[in-house]
Amino acid sequence: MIKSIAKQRVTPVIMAGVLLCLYVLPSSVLAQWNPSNKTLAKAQNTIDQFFDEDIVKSSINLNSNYYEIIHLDSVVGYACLQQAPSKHDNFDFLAIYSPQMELIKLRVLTYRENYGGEIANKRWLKQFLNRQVDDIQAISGATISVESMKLAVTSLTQKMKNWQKSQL
Amino acid sequence: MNLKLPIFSLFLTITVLSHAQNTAENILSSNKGIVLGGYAQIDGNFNLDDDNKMNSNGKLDVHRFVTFLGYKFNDRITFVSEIEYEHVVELYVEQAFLDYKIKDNMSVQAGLMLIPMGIQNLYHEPPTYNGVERTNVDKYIIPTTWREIGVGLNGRLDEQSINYQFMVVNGPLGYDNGTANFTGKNGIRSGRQKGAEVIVSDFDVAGRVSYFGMLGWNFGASFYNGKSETSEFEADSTQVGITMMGIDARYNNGPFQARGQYTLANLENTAEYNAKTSSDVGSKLLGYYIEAGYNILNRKSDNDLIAFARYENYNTHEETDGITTNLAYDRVDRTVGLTYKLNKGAAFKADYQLRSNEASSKETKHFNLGVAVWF
Repeated sequence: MIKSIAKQRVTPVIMAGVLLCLYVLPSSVLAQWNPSNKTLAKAQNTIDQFFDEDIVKSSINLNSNYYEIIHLDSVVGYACLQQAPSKHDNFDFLAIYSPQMELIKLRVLTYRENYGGEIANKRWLKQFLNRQVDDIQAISGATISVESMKLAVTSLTQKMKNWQKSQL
Repeated sequence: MNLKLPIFSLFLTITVLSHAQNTAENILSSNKGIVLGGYAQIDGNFNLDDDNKMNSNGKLDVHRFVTFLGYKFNDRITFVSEIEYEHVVELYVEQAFLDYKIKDNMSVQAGLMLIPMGIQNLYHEPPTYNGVERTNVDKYIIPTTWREIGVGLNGRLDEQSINYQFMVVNGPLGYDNGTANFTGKNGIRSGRQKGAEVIVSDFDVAGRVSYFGMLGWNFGASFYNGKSETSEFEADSTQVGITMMGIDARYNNGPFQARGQYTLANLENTAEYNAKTSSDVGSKLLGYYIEAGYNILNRKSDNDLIAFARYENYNTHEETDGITTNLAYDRVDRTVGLTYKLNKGAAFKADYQLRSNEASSKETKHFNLGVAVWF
């Protein structure tokens, strides 16, 4: 059997192809996190409420959890579902960007750990919309989650900006 | 010869396939598994004379070294434990409970848990507070680290910005075969059962509600109510009723930080308890502290250098019943110090303390150095 396959010159090429796919797959598709149904429902709810008009959302090629929000054939924003670590667990949040990649809405959808849930506070999250990350207030009892949120939002914003540039 | 390349490719493919499976598996199971962590404080304590020179030998101590071990069975079920070495040779289990999430923001917990009283009993990782040692309000009024066995409910209301916690637990052991664990100096501290072959005669309740809806602020209110435990069966004179209440607040604004706590404990039946056991426990314990700190370094740097000052008063004889009030138990600590945070989880600490009590006009002076770690 092997011998017969081996006789075909294409085998190494196929194998190499399979190899390549398998190397690329985990990093691009498999490596993405699958949000729970609850997180997805909350995200959908938040997006619907925020845009308040007939919108269509479709995943962008950067990440299947990041969406382009389209209204009447034009892009009105981007919504990104992202997971970040708390001290001993992960939490899920949603970031909405304007077409110019300014952060216009940030919401914690699911916070799992017993400590640090204070970061879900809307007033605290609002700071991200109009302040430098360095100027965001600390929260007593939620130090780790605060730092994680700051890092996660900074990196997400950078990723989205880079992606937008790459699409031009 | 011809076989070599295909076999090699196949081998590689299998390797990569299994790698892919593992990656996928890891991703699917990223929300479960073993969690490791820990914290430690390594202290140096030095007593000083009037000229700020050492007047006795100093003490260096690996005061606490705690390893956190958690296991997440799935999104709903988690086991949390902390194994603690105190002063290197004392081994304790600081926490060991099963956490079962009945909703995203609500869980039932059962096992050995921290009593939710005040700030430091819950948030006791050394880099999270200023000062080498925990406050003495948290040592003598709240017997931190206070943990007992029971069942509780723990949750968060996101819309209302409220965290809450309620539990039913065993109480501290006040009387153990002729020995009185409650004393005038230490209050109920020596009665903590710490989960070790706990004696239960009565179940107690504890709870805490905190509000984080105001930017920069965190307010808490705690309560505890019940009876101490006794090794005697149905012996009233060996038990005291315990009602403890406390409020606390923490504030952060840019480089400025402040916190304060007020804790009050009413003990009932102390006259009978003291008469029976020849102890001198007070009928009312009261403690409070207020602390302010300022980060001297630019906040944009990763390091923080916090200069702080704290005033605390703790009196384990605020009131007494049938015994003489000992003024030496009305104590005041004034502390100034520095916390140099290299990172959120690693800090060097230094502080200088003046301790006094109502029975003496003399202050004692203390200098403390510490290494604080949390990961």
